[in-house]
Amino acid sequence: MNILCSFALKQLGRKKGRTVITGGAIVLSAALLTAVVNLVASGRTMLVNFLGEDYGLYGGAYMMILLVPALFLAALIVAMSVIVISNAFRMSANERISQFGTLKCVGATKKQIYQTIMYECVLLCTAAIPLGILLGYLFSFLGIAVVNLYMEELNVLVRSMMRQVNFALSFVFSPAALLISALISLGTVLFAAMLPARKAMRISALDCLRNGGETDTSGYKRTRITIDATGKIEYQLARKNVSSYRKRMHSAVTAFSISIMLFIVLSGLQEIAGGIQDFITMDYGYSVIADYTSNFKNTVNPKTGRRQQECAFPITAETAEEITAKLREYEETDIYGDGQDYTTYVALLGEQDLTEEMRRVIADGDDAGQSGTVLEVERIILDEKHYDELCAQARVAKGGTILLNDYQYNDNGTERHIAPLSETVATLQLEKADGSQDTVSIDGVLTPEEIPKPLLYPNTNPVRLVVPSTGMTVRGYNWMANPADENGFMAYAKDVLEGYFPQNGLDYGEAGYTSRVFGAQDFAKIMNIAIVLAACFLYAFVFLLGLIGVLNVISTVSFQIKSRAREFAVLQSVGMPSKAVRKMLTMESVLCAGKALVVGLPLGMVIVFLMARCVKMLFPIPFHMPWTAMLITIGISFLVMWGTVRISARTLKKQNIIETIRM
Amino acid sequence: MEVLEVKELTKIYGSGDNRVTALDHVSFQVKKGEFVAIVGASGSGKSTLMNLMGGIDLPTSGSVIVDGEPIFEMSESALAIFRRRNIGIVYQFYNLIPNLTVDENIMLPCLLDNRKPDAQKLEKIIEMTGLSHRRDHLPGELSGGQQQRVSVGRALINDPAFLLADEPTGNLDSKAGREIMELLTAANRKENQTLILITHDENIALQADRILTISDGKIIRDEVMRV
Repeated sequence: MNILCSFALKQLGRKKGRTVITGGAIVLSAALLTAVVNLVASGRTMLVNFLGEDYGLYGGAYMMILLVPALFLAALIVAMSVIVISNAFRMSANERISQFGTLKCVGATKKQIYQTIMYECVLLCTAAIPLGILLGYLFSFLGIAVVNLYMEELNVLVRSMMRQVNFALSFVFSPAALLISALISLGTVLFAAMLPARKAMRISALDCLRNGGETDTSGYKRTRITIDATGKIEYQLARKNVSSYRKRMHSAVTAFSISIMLFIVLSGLQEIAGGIQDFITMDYGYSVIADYTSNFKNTVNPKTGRRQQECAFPITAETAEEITAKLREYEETDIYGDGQDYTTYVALLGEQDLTEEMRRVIADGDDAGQSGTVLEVERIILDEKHYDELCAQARVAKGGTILLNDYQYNDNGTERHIAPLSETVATLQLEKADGSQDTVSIDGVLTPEEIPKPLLYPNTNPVRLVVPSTGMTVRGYNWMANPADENGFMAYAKDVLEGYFPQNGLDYGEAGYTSRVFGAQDFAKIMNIAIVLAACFLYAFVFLLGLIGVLNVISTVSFQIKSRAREFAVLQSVGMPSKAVRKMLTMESVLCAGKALVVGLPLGMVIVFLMARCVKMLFPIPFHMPWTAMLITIGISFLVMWGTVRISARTLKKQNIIETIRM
Repeated sequence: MEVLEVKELTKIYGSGDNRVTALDHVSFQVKKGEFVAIVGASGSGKSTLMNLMGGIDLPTSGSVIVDGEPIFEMSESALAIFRRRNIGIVYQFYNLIPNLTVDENIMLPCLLDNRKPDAQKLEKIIEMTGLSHRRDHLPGELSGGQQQRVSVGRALINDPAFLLADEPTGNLDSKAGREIMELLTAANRKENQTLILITHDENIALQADRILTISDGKIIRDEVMRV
């Protein structure tokens, strides 16, 4: 065997503890990379099954759903691995620096010194990367099994709302993915080892011999902290040591900070996702919804240049009413029917027609694209029974038009409801996309408190009018109910809708329209499943990445304690009790964990804050910092650092002070 | 015939107020088979001179010529290869590789050349150093004297142009020190191995053919003890 390879092999055997820890870090790194690459391969197979080979309309889905997150995760793994593995090789090189000096003195070239460390790396990779890849496949297999547990429930919900789908992640073995995982893992480890190897090869033989065991003499920094009698000596020493050895602990603190930051970011992300879920969960006051929606296309009117919508199969109020009547026949279930038209009209308003608040919203440009005093109009029709009730509530004669004077908007992340039109408005000038105009009189007004629950959503247009249904056609219509037997009603409603809008087994929208029957909370359930799955996946990812960071902390701290054995022996020889040495080390561990927290926590908080700011521009959600996660992080950080130091410090007990000093 | 020629060798450490001239225009020559002792007080520049002769440090000015080759004109890699083949170095603290056996430590300069040494040569050195029964031992399993003998064996394995020994007995008891000196002088007398030895022990220096006395970075005396 080549002598350099033999050196490397012997070094690995001599330092079994660190070999295991470094190997463990490489195994975890390769496993995570393999899992990520394999999940992309499995995800791609699922998307191809769902969308077809070219993904049809969703050509960007592969990039956005799979590649971008995978690249982000892979970049995180690579960055963390480089920090940790590089640190392990740096420690190994530091330990052998006097050997390198000897080797150089007997004629080893720079390249040979470099090769010694790289051989060590290659030997470790030979064992650790295949093991990591196997573990990665196991992670993928288990991950896919967990995903599929939830997937069936997701499929049932999606099928009821959209189409006959069968989302299922299957374990895919792809030679290309295997090769990619192996190459990225190998490249990461080689790059990580290259950094300390290059540093070691550059040091002169004399420096290697003189410094005997310390590559980087700049690792000791001069510090302003002075030792005096003002406090306990062990605490003062601990402060000075942490400051002096900051470069030596740099990688451990950095890796730890990254783990802390990732955990905070993930917890923040979960809070944000929960906020979005709460926001999009619409409480209509009904448990089952049947709906009909015609396909449409947006065009531009050639005369006026204004946007207009052309519906393929709009539904007439008469048909909607007929269906309402049929649905009511099921165990005398009350049905709330409403249909919306969002695009036919805009309202031309004078300044005096708007409330002051609305004028301010328009001026701030937060009015969903409105300009000046032209506001989009939503026309709503109701089933006869509920229209009559609404008229009575608004004290309007049957056949009147009722203004739902409530506009909901996102005020920098806070949901606000304002009355958009002033009380003086009695008529509205409405205009179609072709420029023709109609005048509508407002016969009654309902304030936000008076508007029935089913009419609170989606509330996107500033001017909302409930109009008499006679002669109306709308793009879509909902029938909402609270049946005693939900499943029975859903089956019945499906039959009724199929009778009016036969889909003949066609997919979502393929018939020119879609009719569905689903639970009112199904959207929220789907989102909840998606959040749970994403959280499981990301927490597992952060846990494993954090484990790499913790391995680094253990490796660095134990190395530091061993390499400082002489320093501790000197302290004891001059009269410092071993208990005080342990106290000093404990204090150092607390200070190091504190340093990692000082960087990781604020960084995590800033990222969470920025993410929340971005999301709040789209959704008015309440948001709180993940304080519980932060407390957990603080506790775990101190515990890991303290535990590692305590365990490593136990080896000092066995050392003879005089022999250690003579070393 | 000169195997080593030191010309106007100067080494200055630091700058400004911290400037220290460790060697000041030192020149001398060493002939093939000569045993030269370099003596001097602590801080006189002995070790600096040895590091420069061994090519493990660079001078501020001047040159070192080994077998006609000016070593500081070589690239770093070429100098390393030249050193492994032409210069044998013995240190006070042995500087063995702890995880290599006695045999491997002795063969190290050859192994770095990706070649095995001549078996007869290795046997001869093992016999000479008296380590036949310890060949598979690691340095940690040997006494200080035995470790230093391994170090001498390693320095001799390539038949170097000269052997540099820096206080080779400084870390040993008197018996082990005597044995090391016997080993070195045997190599010099029997094998005609050029030997340059740095010491502050007058008794050891007196065994040399020639004594160079160094003080404040200058050769202040060059005495020939025997011809």
